[in-house]
Amino acid sequence: MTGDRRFLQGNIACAEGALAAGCRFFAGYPITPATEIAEHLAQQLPLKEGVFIQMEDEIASIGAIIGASWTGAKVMTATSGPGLSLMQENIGYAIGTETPCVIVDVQRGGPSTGIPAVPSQSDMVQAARGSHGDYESIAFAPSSAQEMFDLTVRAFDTAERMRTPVLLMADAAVGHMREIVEMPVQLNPVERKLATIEDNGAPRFLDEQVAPMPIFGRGLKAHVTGSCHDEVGMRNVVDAEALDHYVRRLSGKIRNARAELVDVQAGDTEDAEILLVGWGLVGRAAQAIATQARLAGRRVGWIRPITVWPFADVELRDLCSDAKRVIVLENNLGQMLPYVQAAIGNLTEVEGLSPKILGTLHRPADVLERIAA
Amino acid sequence: MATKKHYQVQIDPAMCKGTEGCGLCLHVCEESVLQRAEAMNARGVHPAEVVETDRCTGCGLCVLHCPDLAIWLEAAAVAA
Amino acid sequence: MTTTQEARHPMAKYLRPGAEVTTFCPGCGDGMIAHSVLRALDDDGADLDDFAFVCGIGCAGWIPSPYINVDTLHTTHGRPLAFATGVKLAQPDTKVVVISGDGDLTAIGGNHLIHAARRDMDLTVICVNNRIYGMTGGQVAPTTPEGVKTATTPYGAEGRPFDLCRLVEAAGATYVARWTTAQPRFITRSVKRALAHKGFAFIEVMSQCPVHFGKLSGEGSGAHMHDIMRDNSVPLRRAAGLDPADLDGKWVVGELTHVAAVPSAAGG
Repeated sequence: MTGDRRFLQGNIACAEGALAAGCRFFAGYPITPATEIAEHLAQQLPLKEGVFIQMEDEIASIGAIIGASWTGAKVMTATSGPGLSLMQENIGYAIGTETPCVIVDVQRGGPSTGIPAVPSQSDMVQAARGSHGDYESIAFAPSSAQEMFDLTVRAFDTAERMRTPVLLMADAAVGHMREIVEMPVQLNPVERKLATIEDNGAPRFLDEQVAPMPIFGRGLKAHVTGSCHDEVGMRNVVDAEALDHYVRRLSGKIRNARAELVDVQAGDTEDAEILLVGWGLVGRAAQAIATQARLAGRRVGWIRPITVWPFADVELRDLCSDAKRVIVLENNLGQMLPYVQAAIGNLTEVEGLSPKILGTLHRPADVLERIAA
Repeated sequence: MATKKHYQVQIDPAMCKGTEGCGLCLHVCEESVLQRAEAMNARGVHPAEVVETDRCTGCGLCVLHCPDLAIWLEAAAVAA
Repeated sequence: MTTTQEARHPMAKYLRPGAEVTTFCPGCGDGMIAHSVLRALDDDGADLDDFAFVCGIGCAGWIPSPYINVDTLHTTHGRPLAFATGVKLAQPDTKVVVISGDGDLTAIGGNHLIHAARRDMDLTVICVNNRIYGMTGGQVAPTTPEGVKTATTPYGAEGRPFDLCRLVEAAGATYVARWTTAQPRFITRSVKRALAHKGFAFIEVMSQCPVHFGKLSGEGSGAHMHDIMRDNSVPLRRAAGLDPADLDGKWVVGELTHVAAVPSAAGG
């Protein structure tokens, strides 16, 4: 479909973005509201000599994509909150073994089974802290069908460049809405650096500049383990120094790349007294509401971090230091709010605002009422 | 002139985990070729050692049963 | 450590440099199984660069990892079959071998086991069954015989243990064999057959764990446990003529199922 301009459901746009980025392996499990991604790829991947498989559960799905990634394939899975919870152990494995992969989370109402088809920002912190141990996460939040395409491409490029999992934090509304999507004719997808036999002895893991990946089937005799390991993948479960090295290098790899990873959109912030901050679709609402407030004579600006993780603390400090109030809009009880408070609470007043009814979008009247308060 | 095979049991004492805890080679040998060594290896255990190489029939049971690649056979044809 | 100048075990050429000493306990059957596998590869003249080994958490996971010098994926607990499915589907020309323990493959990994078998995924799976959770110190496994007092069943294990071969066959596996470490040559032969088989090949190998199971059950040392396995293995043909009651406490060994590949075998 590249080169096309189509009226597409967000989930389909995401799947098309994956294909355009070079995804050729998808393993997944049906879950509302993400299932359309799997169904579209079930049809399309075999036509592009790719592989689609529905696995027996979400744990098997993420396991299968990790295995496939180690053969060099670009891989993806898609799920919702309950499935993401199941995947957490293996997300940690992918991070620890530096396995590129894309995980789409089309969020729904939780906790537990909740409501499958209402939008919610239920997993924003789970995206960063759902697995055990110290690690850094990378996640993007789309706000439109177009961004479902664009940010999926970006997720693949980032996963390949950083040799790590990347999450796409959508929600039921973004996944199911239908909008115009422009798909570029030409993409230049990023390809992971590969280890070679000639560079034997060079690091294959734990390089903060991202080590070349010793994929299977090339005589590299790679040793890949989720145990604490060294630069050549050899397990060390004895020395605390080895753990220190392993943890710090993995996190350092992501932290070093912060400047290129963190992408924030904002508007009307220079003279703003009040700033509305939101992610994903809620951020799109924040922009619309800020515009309405401006028309009513209030000095209101908006900030929409495209990158959820790493957290845009530096960017928020730059944008918010002169504001009187910052209102963090989230379709949850305030998951990102404490991070915003930690970043700018000493500079300005920070408050959170959920929609009047969780699982629905913020109504402009409710936000304007809070602005006026 | 007839030849017969002569088998030389090779043991790497450094690889052996010791006859105290293992001893599988001694246990399966039906010709009493092997015994527990008096000297300890670097691991602090008594490895297996060859007592009587001429008794070895080359059955290979010791090789098949060693969990540690510590024992193997080398064969040579010798004039009978 | 021997060098290439000095005499070296003929199977040592398959080992990862620096990892030639196993971490298995003295007398453990896992090392024996490792070598039965290496002998199969050697007999076949195999090039390890055509292989990927996938293993889970537990003592048996250390059979390929880091010991064997081959592309190795040491996964999270219970998941090697899921990871292996991804490797095989994405790189069909690679021979994918899964080696893991009974706890890993049939307890936490049970769901992946029955589905990989159902799909008749072209994998060779060696289930190292020591009837206990050895690495964590001797807790009950789904394969522990009833009544055994393990670390987590101090009053005796309850519930019948799995018959893994029947389970896997019922799920759809097209090659199923069972051996014990008292039959090392047969393990080697089955591994060769399993590698040649297009479809899901499952080999259950009973392995002695003298340190935990041997102590808890009273079966004793590695050598003594070997004798028990040798004396209580009943070949398939003889078992067919026996009363089920006579097979109580015994292991039916042999190639229990061998179905020629069907065109729909996934990844084959």
